[in-house]
Amino acid sequence: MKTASSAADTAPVERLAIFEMSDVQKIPVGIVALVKTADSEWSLQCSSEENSLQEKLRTVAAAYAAARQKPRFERCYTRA
Amino acid sequence: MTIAFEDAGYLVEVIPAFDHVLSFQMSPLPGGLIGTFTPLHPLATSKEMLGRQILENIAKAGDDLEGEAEGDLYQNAIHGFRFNTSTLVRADARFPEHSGVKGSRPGFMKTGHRYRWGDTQTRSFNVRNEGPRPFAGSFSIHGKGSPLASVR
Repeated sequence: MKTASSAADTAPVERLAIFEMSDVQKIPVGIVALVKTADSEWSLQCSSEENSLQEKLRTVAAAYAAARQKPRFERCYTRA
Repeated sequence: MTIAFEDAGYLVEVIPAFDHVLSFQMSPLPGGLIGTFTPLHPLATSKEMLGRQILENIAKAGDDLEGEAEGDLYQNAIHGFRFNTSTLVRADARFPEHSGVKGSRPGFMKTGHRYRWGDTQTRSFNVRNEGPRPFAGSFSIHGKGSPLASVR
């Protein structure tokens, strides 16, 4: 049984609506949610209407996730 | 994460962790349960049927508790609501056309039973979609380490 406390535990830390700009119109691409699943584990949950839109999200999300998983010293080295 | 998507040329808006707020009022009068199901952001699609089904299950939870000790009614009803809510969210994702909901207007259910609450109870809950909705497709990327520090 899902309780309110467990629902709060899995609530996204950050949740973003992603849009593309076309002229003056905002076109929804999808929603990206960052969920902390354990002390040092997390999950990026992305959803979109079509496969092509999912791929757009995946490109950025995968790069972001890869950057997050680099060891700290390596990130420092790269930045320098 | 915002910066990562903005750098990729997208417009980013922070949205609430939940999609809808469900609030309902149970009346001690016969068959009284009135609720509202409100989207919290523009991308949260209107799910009138989902809201009605959840409210109907709350009403049923009250029906099932007939005969139980008066003092336990409230806690048991809330537990029943949680169980039925998570079940319904998943069911609705698979069967959006599901019908059979009673009620003369959205958010209003008649149960035909008299609730034995001492007072009218008002409660509000946040509801987050657990299925592929609000969009049809989804995927997840898992990792370790702090995800919150900005990465350029």
